[in-house]
Amino acid sequence: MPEQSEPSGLERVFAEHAAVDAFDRERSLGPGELSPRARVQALIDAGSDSFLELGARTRSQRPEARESSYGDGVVTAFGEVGGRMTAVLADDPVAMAQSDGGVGKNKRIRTLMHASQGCLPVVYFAQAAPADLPAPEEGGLLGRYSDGPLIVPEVRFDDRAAPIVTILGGEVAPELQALALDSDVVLRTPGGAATPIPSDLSLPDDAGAIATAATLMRLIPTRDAAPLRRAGDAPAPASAALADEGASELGAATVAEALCDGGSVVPFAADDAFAAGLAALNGYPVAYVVGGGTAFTRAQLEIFRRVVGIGARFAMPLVLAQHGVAYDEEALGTTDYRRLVGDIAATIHGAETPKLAIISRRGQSAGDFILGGRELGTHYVVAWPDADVSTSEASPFTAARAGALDGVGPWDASGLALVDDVVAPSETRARLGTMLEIMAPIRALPPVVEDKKGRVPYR
Amino acid sequence: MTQATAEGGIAELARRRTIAAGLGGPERVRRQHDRGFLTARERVGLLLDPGTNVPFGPLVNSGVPGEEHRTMGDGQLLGFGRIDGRWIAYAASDATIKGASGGAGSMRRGGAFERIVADAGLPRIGLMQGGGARITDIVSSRFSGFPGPAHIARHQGFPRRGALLTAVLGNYYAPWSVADADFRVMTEPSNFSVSSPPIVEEATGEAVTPFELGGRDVHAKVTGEIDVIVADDAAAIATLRRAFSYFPANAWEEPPVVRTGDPPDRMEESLRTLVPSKPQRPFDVRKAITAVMDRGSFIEWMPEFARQLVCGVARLDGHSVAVIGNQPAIRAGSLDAKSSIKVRRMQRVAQAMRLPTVSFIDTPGVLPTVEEERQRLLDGLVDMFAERIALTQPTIAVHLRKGYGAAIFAMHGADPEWYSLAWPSAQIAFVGPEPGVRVAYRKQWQAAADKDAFVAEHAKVIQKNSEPWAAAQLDFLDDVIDPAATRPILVRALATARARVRNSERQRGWERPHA
Repeated sequence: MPEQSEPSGLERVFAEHAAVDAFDRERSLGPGELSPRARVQALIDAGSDSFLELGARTRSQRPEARESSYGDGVVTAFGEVGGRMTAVLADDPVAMAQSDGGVGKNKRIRTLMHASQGCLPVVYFAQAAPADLPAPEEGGLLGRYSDGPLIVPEVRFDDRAAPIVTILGGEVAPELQALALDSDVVLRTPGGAATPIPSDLSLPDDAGAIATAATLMRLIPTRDAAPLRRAGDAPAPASAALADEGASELGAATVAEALCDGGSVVPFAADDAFAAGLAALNGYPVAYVVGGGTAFTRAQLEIFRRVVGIGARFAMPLVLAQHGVAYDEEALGTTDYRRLVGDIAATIHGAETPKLAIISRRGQSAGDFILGGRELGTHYVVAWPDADVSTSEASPFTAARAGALDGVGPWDASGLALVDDVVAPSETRARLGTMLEIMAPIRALPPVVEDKKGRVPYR
Repeated sequence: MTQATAEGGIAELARRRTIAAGLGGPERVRRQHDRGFLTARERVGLLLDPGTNVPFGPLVNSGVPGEEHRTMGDGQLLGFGRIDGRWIAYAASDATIKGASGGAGSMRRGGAFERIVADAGLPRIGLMQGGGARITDIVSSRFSGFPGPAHIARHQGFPRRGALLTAVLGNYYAPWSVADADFRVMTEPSNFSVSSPPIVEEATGEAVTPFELGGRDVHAKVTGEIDVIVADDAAAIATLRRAFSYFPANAWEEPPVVRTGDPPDRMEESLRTLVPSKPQRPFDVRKAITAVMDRGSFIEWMPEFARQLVCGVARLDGHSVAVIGNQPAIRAGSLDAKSSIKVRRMQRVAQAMRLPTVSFIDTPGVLPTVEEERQRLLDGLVDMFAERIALTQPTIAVHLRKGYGAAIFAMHGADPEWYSLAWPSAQIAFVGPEPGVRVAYRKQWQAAADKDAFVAEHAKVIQKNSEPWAAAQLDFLDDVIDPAATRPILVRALATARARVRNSERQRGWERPHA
């Protein structure tokens, strides 16, 4: 019997690759569900260099699981998404369930440290069922991951400059939920329906979620001095046009679509009563909120806070369109509701980014409430010609004074400089786009720091 | 439903825009034209690249009941537009409405406008005429819209956030935007002063004309509060556009580079014979400046004020620089209280607008007269030195001839941090040879039988010691250069200095925005 020779180094490499590929192929997947490595591949920009995977040939520390634990529960990689380098973590539920995760844990930490220190965005495919893990006191994984706001103390994302997007594809072990919970945007596919982590958007399948994640990577900028509108981010025409006639009767979602560049809108909420999300306008990424004529519900305010929070964190311009009485008088009596309103107001006020507001129809309190009045630090406020800009809804009092005050339209407000201009609906998109161009340096310049008396100290 | 909405908001918008476009009405527009002035709208049209005007608050009015439609714009046009493709903010006085005085509406609008300007670091260009507070409207509690200290203070950060350029295009009172500007131009028929003649007469009983109070001669020769004076509105606006091409948008950017096609290695033979061999014989320092800088790029500022000093902006291989030079043809190029004002102005602009300074030195020192001492010469010099020390932008000094005493330091010479060059004709000393002998050897000189011979003999020694070679050997000077090679050497020095200052700023946390 001929003696079997040891495989050469190259043969070993090929064999390992084949084993990983087979491992990828042989797992059972749900409908519309991709393997972790296929998810990463689908996320990476088409035409860009393929991603750099770290630790593809790692395996579980448990001898009995070595043949079925390639990657030890997680695929970690770096590649270009939306034109910029992104760190990607993709849970592998099959492998995870059979390992103690010690190797996988180190992979996660290394990847997140690279991302944290390099200000790289992170996309996390979360799908890791709870495993039979040793307890923390036995040196296991449990506990380490839930310690602190994000995964492990070595990774610092509290004041991150680049976004984290999580795609919930299935159940997520409690010890791995911290990253998802602290993400800027959470997407959910049907596989993740039962996971109790709150999500911003639900997508029908992996492909939809991956496409949305890639769009978000293009939209949410890194908070630094890099150009807000990158080369190649050519503005696209809006997917719907705003006509002067009947514009004020349009639903919130339609107005949002008509203001933003076509194909760029990632809606967190999109119906006639309320629309909010991220999009591009004249090629500039923006966080937008559009009111639809009714008082905000608590759920809408939650989304509002989420969207302006993303804008403020990454210095994305805010575009706020007011049509409504802004708040629910009855709900305002509750602490939670008031806290939400306060959070939103504080976030808008503190955002060091261009802030633009449109009073599209009803702008009670002269837009000074949560939809971007001057008192919240809005830089530029315009009103549509049919807007009502008054301190309250039309009443016998305002109606009686209408003749003397030119009505409750935008004219008094524009005369008194409470709004900066009155523009026709059909002009609005172009005007906002131009103002974004003019004001884009706001996010890149250091903030003007004033002392108590409003003076700027000499440097 | 109100009348306005019944007619349709779009129709009402068009109606109001038409009113606003007509400014104060045909009669007032005609009066403005009869005075030889353009209207605010025409001025803005000349200032901006075509099709780039974005008005801000065009429908603001005085807010006085009954006057809304007659005061559309409230005496001022504000907005944004492009100059040579760069965004700027403009404020243009509209003298056809209430004499362009500031009412409550325009002041409130101004606060919002200034906030955008400051936060976005936009350059701000003022086309000013009329002005002052509209006393009739704001003596009451209606006066609630003043921009406030916060917004004004945003402009005071050092270095300034956005460039500020102002044109005075008529009578202009409360001219704050002149005092604070990085560049100021006025037309011959214009005047500006803090108070108007009626106020002066009310306060002092003195009847003065606007031109006695603040006409072109006053500012060109006495106050130095204007940089360039031109014939008319169109020339002033063209000058503003040109001046802006030398400035960055704000202190966080670098000035634009405008190549003129002038070769950076151009040798200028004429400079070898520019400086007369006799120290007292004058020459025109402008010849040195224009020969060294990119051809046609030098804009002289304040040419009629403190004429013993020439200053302005120019380009060197396309890069903007501030220029100061002693003018030996006037008072031998000595420094006095007024010229210290001129130097300080250029230093401040250079620091705020990130311009390196190139100085051409030929000065016998500070002008030693009783009158100058009484004109607070000391304060002027000390303030100049203090700002000189605070300057973080590069300076390159070229010693052409005399450089005596503290004036060397004032003219940016002998700066170990940056660069000092000298022509072979340079004389660097505490004091000139002959006066030096008469002061230092006073008793011997007075006792000498032949005083002239005594001075001549000892002056030779001082003169020899004042030659640039000793300073170059001791590293007080970076080099003694062929005058003909001044331009190529300055181009190289400037490139090195720029790299150094950029790196230094980066280390201090400055980053150029790319938004």
